[in-house]
Amino acid sequence: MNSHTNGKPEFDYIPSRLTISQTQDRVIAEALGKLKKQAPAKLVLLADRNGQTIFSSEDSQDTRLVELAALLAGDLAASEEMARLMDSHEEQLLILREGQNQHSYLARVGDNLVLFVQLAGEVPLGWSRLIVQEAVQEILEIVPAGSNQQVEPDSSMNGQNVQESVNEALDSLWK
Amino acid sequence: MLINWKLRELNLKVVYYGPAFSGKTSNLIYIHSRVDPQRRSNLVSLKTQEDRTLYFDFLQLELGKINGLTPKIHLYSVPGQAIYESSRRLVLRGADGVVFVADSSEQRRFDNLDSWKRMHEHLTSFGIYTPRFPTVVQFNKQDSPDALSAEELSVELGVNGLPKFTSVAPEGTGVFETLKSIVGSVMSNLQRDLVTT
Repeated sequence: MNSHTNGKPEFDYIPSRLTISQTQDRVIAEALGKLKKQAPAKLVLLADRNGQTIFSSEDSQDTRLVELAALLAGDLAASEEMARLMDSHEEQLLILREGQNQHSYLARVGDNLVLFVQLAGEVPLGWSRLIVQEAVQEILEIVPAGSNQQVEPDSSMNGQNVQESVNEALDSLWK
Repeated sequence: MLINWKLRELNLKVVYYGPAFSGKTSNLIYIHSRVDPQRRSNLVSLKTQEDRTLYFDFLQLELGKINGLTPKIHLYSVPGQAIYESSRRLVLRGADGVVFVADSSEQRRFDNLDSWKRMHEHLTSFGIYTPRFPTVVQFNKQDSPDALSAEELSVELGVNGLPKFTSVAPEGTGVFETLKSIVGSVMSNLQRDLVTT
């Protein structure tokens, strides 16, 4: 017996899904580009809560952004869980890491996103905190909290044998 | 799941779940070793001092275009030790599909059951509880002297309706087949939604 079928499911499967439209992508890039310039920041990265990168801009170009985004999402999730255990959970969460040469902010952006900003040590903390908070609000207007969306209808997958295509795509990865 | 229509990019999250020492990390290590470095990230492992998974392992694979979309597959594994239940739940959140890695050793049968049950409790708490959720079961450590057969393990876990694979992860046996199955299952699920939305 399949354990999934033990008893009646209370819910149908609703995928946790975030869709970024072309317009949202452009406006996010504008808002975070402005943040990077204003701060000024060394690195700005916006990812979803699963660590999937939506926007990044950096000076050095040598940061491993894929891994960084996954770790940032894990970091925020752990911080939120700690807050929940201490009964101090709040909707807005901004984590500051202050160092001698640089500091960084990790911010919760609604239910779906996480924003990371890395700055040089000489950038005043009060100033940087203010503009990071402003950027969070701006992104929330572009991608509202709780805006898990249905995917747009797309005919490109219609009638395709997806498993076959996946097998071919994965075969080409294997060395 | 994150879909960026400008880039026509599809980001999917697959979580390897299972009891301690069942071989979740071994799956990711093997995949990492066999995939073209240009098409994958580095393997990130947050470990304890004893080299056990503390929070998660992470690896991203970038597939070629499938029907006009470029899928990026984010593979995570959860920590297996009992004390890390909260961490497992955090890593599982947002998953588009799961690979349940069971330890085939007869001695671990109750650990498998307990982990399977807990995984479903977590999924249910996220509002996910249906046969539609992409799930693949891997019976790992088939080289154990006391390994149960796939048939016995299937009955024990009650997974007869799901895709199942036997494996010896460090040698790579069954690892790629499992990966293909779960990615295919997640993509098929998405296809159904895209076509019917």
